[in-house]
Amino acid sequence: MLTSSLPIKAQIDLILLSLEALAQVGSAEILTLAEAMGFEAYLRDRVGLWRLRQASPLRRGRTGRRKLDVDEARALALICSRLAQQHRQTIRTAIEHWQQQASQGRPPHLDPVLGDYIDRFTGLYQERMADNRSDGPELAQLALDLLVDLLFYSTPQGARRLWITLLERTTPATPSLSLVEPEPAPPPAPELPVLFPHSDV
Amino acid sequence: MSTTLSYSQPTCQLDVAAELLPFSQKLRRAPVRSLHFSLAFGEKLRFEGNDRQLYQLKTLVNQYIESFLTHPQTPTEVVIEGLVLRSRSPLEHELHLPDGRVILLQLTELYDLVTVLDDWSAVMEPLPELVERAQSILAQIPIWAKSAAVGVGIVAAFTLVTQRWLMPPASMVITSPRESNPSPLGMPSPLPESLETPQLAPLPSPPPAPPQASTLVPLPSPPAMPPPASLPAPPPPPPAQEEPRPQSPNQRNVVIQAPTEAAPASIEPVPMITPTVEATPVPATTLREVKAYFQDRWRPPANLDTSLEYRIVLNPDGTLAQALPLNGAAARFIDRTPIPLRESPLASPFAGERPILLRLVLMPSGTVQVFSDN
Repeated sequence: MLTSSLPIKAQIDLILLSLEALAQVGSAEILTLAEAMGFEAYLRDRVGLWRLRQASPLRRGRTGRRKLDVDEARALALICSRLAQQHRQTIRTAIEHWQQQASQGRPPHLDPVLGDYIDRFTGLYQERMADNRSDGPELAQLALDLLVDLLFYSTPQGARRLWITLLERTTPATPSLSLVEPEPAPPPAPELPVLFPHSDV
Repeated sequence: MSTTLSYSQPTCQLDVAAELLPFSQKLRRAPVRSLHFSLAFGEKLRFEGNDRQLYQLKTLVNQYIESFLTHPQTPTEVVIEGLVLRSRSPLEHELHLPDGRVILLQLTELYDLVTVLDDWSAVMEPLPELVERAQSILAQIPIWAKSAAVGVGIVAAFTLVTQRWLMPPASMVITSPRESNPSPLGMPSPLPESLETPQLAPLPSPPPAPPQASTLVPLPSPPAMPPPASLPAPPPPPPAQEEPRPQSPNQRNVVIQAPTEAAPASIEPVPMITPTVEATPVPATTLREVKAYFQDRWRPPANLDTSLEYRIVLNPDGTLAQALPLNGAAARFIDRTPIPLRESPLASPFAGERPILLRLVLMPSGTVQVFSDN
């Protein structure tokens, strides 16, 4: 799945992309919200927002900033959650359409609401992302996965859920201990834990 | 002071009989103690329980959603003391109750359940500010002033708050995929503590606070909670109230109903009711049915050494209008009794248009007495 093990900056960019595809959330709305929430220091204008989103490694022609510090990531996460809450009815309606399609055994993209969302998301993704491995069905699945995520980010404690999800999905896969060959001599001490393994969030 | 908090979503309704803590009046958010809850998914499911079970349900749902979001492609299952949530697909989730019932929740129903529990916990969980305030008050008291009365009073209040705030899900046995997937080499996951601290989940509802201020407000802003006493008593609801109330789908409601029970110090029922019910005779059948209801359900707690007395106000349709504790123990133990939520049926409808008054005595021996309270 595309959203697993992605850096936080890429995950946030995808969340904003899905909101854009579903609810036509544009940069003006994001900037207005940032100012209302007191985050204008991180998102001063369209260029600042563009540079932050361009930090995603999935982006085509990455000319934006390479780094996203914790405060910026936090501000963006809080803004994403607030946007989801503001558009929760749209999100819920799309989920209801999906449930209805599923109950009739029909694929989701045949529903007008979901079909439009998936089309817009796929178009935006292919336009902006350098990742050309993703085909239509894979992107449609990604759009639906992000829709489910948005539903729970729109809950009253959605910001907390979003932040936990960002961190958990960034955590690298744990090596299976069962694959480690037993050694007669004690193995070398593991490297010191990296306190901030995702400083390049 | 007791009240009923109602949280409505399109497919889900949570009613919580709760007790306001003494200092809740001065706070933006009123910390309360839950006594009893009722959760309904329309006609599909009705589930009742006490404070502890509601916390278990909240913990279960939070664990499940976290696991579901962080491992979206792995089947998710979380178990807490007989409560089970299990994913069938992204759109379908099984909720198993301790009594064996299983309900299939659509994704939107699960979302509604999460939302009402979030709303409830925003009100229920005491505030860090409250604890800080209690600590600072304690620190400011000069030694000479720490007389027995002042000291005991403050410490008791602080303890009450702290216990609630720190109420752990620790006593619960939690099984989840996350537990079988510990961090590698015992390393802490990146920034683990910050997840549980309030810093990252402030999101104050409008008006938003600047970042530095928002870190002090960990929970979503709760619904406004005016003192219940200032609210007018709601009109008696129609007997059949099983259908979920019509709500706009995105509406998140907290309805505070009029106080259902008075504190032990003010035992008298609401004046509106008293004069109208005193002269109403109590049918013998109703007495028998109410007694049978409690006789079947009353399980005296081991540490109970006195009888619990309540005044029961019964609507003509046989449902509970009010239950008023008549002694201190009755107030303290009300969440351990089988007294249901308001409007729950206790007996079959009886002739007459006025409510009747009953006296209910629950004894430590397990004996139940019900008689007319005229």
